[in-house]
Amino acid sequence: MSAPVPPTAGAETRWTSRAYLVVAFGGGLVALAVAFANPVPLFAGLPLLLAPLLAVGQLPGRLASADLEWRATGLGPDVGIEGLVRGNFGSFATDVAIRVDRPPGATETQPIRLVADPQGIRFTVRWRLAEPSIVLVPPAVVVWRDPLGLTVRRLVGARPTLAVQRAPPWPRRGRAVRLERLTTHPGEVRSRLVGPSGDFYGVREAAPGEPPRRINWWATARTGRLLANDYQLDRTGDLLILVDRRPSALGPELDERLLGVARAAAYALAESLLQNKVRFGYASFGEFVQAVPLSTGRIHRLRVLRAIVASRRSAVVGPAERCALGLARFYRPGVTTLIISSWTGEPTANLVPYVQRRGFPVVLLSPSPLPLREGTGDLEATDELLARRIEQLERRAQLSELWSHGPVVDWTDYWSLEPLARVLRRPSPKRVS
Amino acid sequence: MSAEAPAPERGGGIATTVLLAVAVGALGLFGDLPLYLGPAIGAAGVVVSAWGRRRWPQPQRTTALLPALGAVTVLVATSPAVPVSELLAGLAGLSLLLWLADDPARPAGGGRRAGPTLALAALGVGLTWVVVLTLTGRSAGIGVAAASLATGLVLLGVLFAVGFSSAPTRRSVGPPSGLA
Repeated sequence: MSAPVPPTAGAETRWTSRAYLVVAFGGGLVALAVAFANPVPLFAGLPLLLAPLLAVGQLPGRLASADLEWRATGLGPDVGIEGLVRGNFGSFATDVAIRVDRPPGATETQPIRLVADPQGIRFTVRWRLAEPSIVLVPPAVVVWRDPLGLTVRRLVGARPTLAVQRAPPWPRRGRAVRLERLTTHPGEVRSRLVGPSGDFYGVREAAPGEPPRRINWWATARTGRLLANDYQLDRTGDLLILVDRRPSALGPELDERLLGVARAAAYALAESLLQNKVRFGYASFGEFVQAVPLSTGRIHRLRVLRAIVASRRSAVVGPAERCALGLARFYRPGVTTLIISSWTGEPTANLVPYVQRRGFPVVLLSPSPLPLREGTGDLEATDELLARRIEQLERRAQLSELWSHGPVVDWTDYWSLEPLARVLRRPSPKRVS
Repeated sequence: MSAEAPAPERGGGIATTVLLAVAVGALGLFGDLPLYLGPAIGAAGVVVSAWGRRRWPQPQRTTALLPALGAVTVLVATSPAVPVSELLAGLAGLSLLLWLADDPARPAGGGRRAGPTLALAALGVGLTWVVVLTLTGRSAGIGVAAASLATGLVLLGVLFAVGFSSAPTRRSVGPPSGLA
């Protein structure tokens, strides 16, 4: 599943408002000349009428297309966008302008800089993200304006969407993170799972289309027929990450930013689980469930990452029962489910009981909207503190109702996943079978 | 929500403002208005326009052109139909275009880059002036030939406009870059 790539519009050349103004005055002067039978206004109006046409004529054919290559750099909240607009611009590079739209929650720390290059035009821009997020940057808009400012041409070409990933680091202690809550205890009996990664389990006949790296070439040479390896999956529990994409009472902008934080958390957790070879799945729920089945390995990583990036805020609130039914179709009951949702109001609060009723034990991670809220400035400092305190108490009361279903993590420091790691490291009092 | 590319080196626009003021002032000088009123109107229009395109907020900056255009309109409407006034009116129009090209909000050297456009516009004005001059001088053949040439230029401009606005396009494909 690939993230949405908006198609580029056709190359369009249009006159600016300045051109319409110039043509209007030129036409007016010609009319004046005719009305008063005086050729003098005609001479002033003639260049004004000719200039917009000639400005379009000056447009070189080589500016019809310009491909874009770009990437994101930087660490932590600092994001650098470096790109190259490929094209044979020559002396026309001076009049090319590039516009890069900032994602919500990002502030510009360095305005865009353009440098002409034999390959095209290189540009850099730097942002600072307020919170961790995985966002899609819309394709940069490249336009050429004629020196008179009368015409604008939007240059088209390959315009890939850029994904910027800024996930909170997963806390590491020692060589690997032990997820005790998900790990099977010694002596626990669990059905044997065989898959493409993990410890060696046995040799079997190769299936058609078997990847070369799974073929056991020594055994194949001995027997004279293609044999492949099977691996026993690590004895860890499975985990399902469920992101709630439904709109809440917070409004589209805050919802989008909180969803970005949720995506970043899912990404960080997925990376950690993959390092531990844990089998996990990813699902998101807006109007319907979109699910990636349980698996592990590199291909699964790419599949999950694309699903995370493609998780956008839904316009419609899907019923919670539909989510629970959808999960039951894709996953077997008993899989520990980490639900990431803001739980700020009625539309999102009812998800947990339904999911739990279908047999999925839940762990709840709730990115708090309070750090994203800014005061209106109407209150004095002491009153503002009091208002914040009341909001915190209100939120605590909301989340306390969810504790009856499973452990709840109120996530306020977005750049650290330590509170969630603490919960996942702690063995569950009731083992999940 | 957007980052627009700033120009590394801004244009000055002072020299072209002076040139426009001189051209419009000269047009006023040869007009039917009182001796000091014509140049004063021209200079005032140009000064207000020059100030407006530097100081007015960005959305209204396009309209900074209006005072200069208004001054030119007033002056050409009150000019007698003599060859000098006609030539000065054409020069005023061309100076106005040069002034537009030398925008301080755009990269420096706009006047030089707009050279081809301005040269063709000047050619059109020159030919028309010659046509008028020769027709009154009863050299009608040259006048007709020059008028045909000027018409051809305009048609060429129209063809360029149509041809370039329907240039072939390409579509982007593939997943977003940045997925490790």
